[in-house]
Amino acid sequence: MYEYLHQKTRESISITDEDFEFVKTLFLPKKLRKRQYLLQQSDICKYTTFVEKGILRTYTVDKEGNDHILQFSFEGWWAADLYSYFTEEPSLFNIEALEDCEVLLITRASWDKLLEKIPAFERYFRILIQNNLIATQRRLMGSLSETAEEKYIKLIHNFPDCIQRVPQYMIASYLGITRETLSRIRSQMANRK
Amino acid sequence: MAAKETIALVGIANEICTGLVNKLAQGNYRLLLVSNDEKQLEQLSNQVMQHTPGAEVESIDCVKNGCWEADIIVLLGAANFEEELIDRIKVFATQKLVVGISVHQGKIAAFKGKNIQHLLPNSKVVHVFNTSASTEAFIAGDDAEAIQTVSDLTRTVGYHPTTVDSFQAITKL
Repeated sequence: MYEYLHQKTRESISITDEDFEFVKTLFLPKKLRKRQYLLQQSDICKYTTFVEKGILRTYTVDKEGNDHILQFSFEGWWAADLYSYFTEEPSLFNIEALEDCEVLLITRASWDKLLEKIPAFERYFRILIQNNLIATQRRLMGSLSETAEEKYIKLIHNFPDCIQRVPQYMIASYLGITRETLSRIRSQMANRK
Repeated sequence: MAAKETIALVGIANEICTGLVNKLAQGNYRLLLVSNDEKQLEQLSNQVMQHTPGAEVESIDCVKNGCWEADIIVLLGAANFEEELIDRIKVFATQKLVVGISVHQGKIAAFKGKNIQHLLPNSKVVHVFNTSASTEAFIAGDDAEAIQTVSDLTRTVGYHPTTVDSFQAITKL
């Protein structure tokens, strides 16, 4: 139930088994069914979520009813509406399970407690946020200047099993392209091989 | 609309529960009915669906999965204060609200429940006690926010919550 959390934290910090036992007590373990929501628009984001199993989709819905996907969170990834989490303002985002999931949830209060009791976690989260900022910058610039094909190649390079696990229409939405364009790119690439 | 919370109801046994389940199903909750008695569970969930069309009610026989999926765990009946069961669900109840409900038929004096907070140190345990004779529900727990949530739930179900200072106070009512 905590395997990925343990693994991921050990990638950037070293903590004792005893400390990790304490860490476990701060997280709420939850099983989600496919299509269940962890968070809906205008809720307050009470938890930041760590994915042990499954995939979450974080997205907004615009006034015309179109989805805009911020990110997919695979095993070992986090998901939250950080603005809502830190300010307790209503969330802009929806977080939905794309498959049956096992997640670990942590409240703001428990998160503060974690950082206080095990200061090494400051480093873990700093690295997490640092990587997220870099990825976000790249995605922003990519969406402004890359071709559809370049965006697709980058996606499958970063998330190889995305195609098997995420519906095509969602991948198209994430890349900011139409389904037809995505189909065309995929068949062009398949023909080139 | 807020994302629905999932409530696992462990130990559904008798008529009192039917009323409880019907009322909760009308609130913004997804209900998981956990029990070994498959037939009874099916009867109960069919009844709820009839009473409240569109209600999200499901029966599940695995108490571990029920508690794992739940946001709130409700333990009904004295048997569910058994240490063995609590031990099994402990890890899945971490950081969650656990509500222990004791409904007593008739006189208060024979209350046999026990405080289970020490068995679930990482959960927020709230005890609720009432007699079938009245709609007053006595609530005791350590966590103020948890008590507030349970008071709200109690009102949803049509009862009047009264907070008492401690578990001991319930046994002295």
